[in-house]
Amino acid sequence: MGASYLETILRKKVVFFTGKGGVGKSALASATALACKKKNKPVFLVSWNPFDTKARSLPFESLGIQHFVLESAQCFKEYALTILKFKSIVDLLVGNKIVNKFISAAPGLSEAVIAGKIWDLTTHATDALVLVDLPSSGHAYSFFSSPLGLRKLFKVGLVHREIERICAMYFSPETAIQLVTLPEELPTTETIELRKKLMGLGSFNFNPLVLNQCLPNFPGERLEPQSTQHRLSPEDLNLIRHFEFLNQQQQEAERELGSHHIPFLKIPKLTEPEWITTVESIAEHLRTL
Amino acid sequence: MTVPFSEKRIYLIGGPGGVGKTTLAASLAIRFSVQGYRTLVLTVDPAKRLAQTLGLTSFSTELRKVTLTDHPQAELHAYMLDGEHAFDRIIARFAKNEQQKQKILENRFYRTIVESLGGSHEYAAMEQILAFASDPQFDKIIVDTPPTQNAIDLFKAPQRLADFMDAPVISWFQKKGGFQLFQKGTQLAMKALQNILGSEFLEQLALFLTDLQGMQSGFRERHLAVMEVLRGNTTAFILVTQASEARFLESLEFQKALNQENIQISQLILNRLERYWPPLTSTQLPEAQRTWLHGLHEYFEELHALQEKWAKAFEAELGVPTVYIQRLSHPTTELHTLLDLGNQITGSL
Repeated sequence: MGASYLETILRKKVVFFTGKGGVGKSALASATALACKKKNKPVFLVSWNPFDTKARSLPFESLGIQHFVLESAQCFKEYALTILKFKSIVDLLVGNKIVNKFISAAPGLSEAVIAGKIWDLTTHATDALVLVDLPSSGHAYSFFSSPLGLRKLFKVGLVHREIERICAMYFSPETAIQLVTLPEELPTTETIELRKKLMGLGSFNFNPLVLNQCLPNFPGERLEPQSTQHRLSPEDLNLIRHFEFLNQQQQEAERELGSHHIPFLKIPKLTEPEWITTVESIAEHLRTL
Repeated sequence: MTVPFSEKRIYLIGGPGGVGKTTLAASLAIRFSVQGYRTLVLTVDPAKRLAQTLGLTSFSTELRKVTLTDHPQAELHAYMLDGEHAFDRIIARFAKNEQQKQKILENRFYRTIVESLGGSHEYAAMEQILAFASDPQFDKIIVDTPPTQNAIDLFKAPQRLADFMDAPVISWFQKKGGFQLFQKGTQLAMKALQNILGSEFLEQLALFLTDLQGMQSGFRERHLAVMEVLRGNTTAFILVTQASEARFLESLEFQKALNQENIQISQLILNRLERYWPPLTSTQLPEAQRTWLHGLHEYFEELHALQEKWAKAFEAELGVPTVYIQRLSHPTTELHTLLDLGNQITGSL
């Protein structure tokens, strides 16, 4: 038996959560933050939305974890200050409309400043763990690939130095990518694709993948519809067939991951009506993995 | 004047990833084609078995005729969106001449952008919506749009690029010593920017932007044309999602973002709802099996209850006609299942 889920996470300084949209990345990242906090580990939960929408819809704050939404404009401002030193010059810079348009259109720049900010967080709070809730597959890929692309473009200079720092963070043994997916065909194949593409970029460290929203283990003896058919009413038989179908989908997803030699952990689908209580239950469950 | 759902021409199927958009887009397309409409479905790479049902066994971006067994008279075409080369095609279309096209396609900065963006399904979708919207050979066009966040990007991306290229910053790049073109404040700001990013970065970007010269009006027109299609009253924007709190909050955000672009969600599909299971009736089971069955029943009952709760919230907040689709106990890849799903959608709208 290898290290538990939390042990693996706690050995890292930065963990990036990603996967297809709607697989429960934010819930898992939040639950992980909560579980680490219970182990007295200082944790920052950071989310990045490439569209810089101010409002983050999920109620992270009610969970009592430190949560930041990273905005590229704000991160650029902070970064500019470390170089220009004077707040008045920075204000002049970011207050300028033309410069702002320039910054938002320059390719890879927002990804680079966001990654730079995450790096800063890890250097300022050395014992803290930074959990990053990345956007779904496509944008997560560009988060990693853009700085690497810029690195190829600029061999010297300030941009080059900054990018080098970021790349060092990406591939550090203390950094990991946590992929999340659902036990269904499409999300699973897409996640396997994303993992392959990321591996093509460089030697990232992947934590065991999380297969989220699996069927729970029900206590008692499982009924096989074939052998017990005669003792079941038609409605009850339908219920069991429904379970059988979902279970079969899940097993196919597990086989697919297995055939690509991708280690994974399973988290059951919960029936909590609220997001907050779901996160709390996942956090409890993570301690047992 | 509002056009009834069944009389629209373009149907955009939007929503977060993994909620079944591709399947529902195919269902609606099959349904319309069986009904006698000449139908086109623009789709992303569908799951293997769905692709087999549609006869799209190998990936190709050509327009394909789909033959529906049992419905040989149905006129259905499918087109797979290719994100990989979407940008290159846009450049090729708007370049003034071959020389400009080659220069841009080979530009280091451009290649970096394109490669780091990965498969840009949103650009490909936009490009094809435009190409086919004016094509009279189709009565109905169903578009499987990218996941929620990217969909917003789909609406904003061309605007962002066009905005930037209209800015006077371009003229600054075109002339040496161009700082003087700006007012004093901008001159200082630009110098500060140069200090941060280094002159090499700015020079590279300048080269790239100079190469793009003359294309901005094309981009802008294209953007306006796409928006016109998206806002048109013969276009339906159908949000597909699931009944949970996270999906509910996300949908509200999405609706807000769309409204800012003057696009309205016209229909809502709550997909994969767990059905109501009547109380258990089997009495002949041994204790251990009964325990298991009760656990199973309770689990699905709870899922059903929580989805009911969020379905009500959706109804109250979004206030658009809603279709409820149950999670099935068999694959949704058979033709008759897809047709049945399509009927469910049109039947309740």
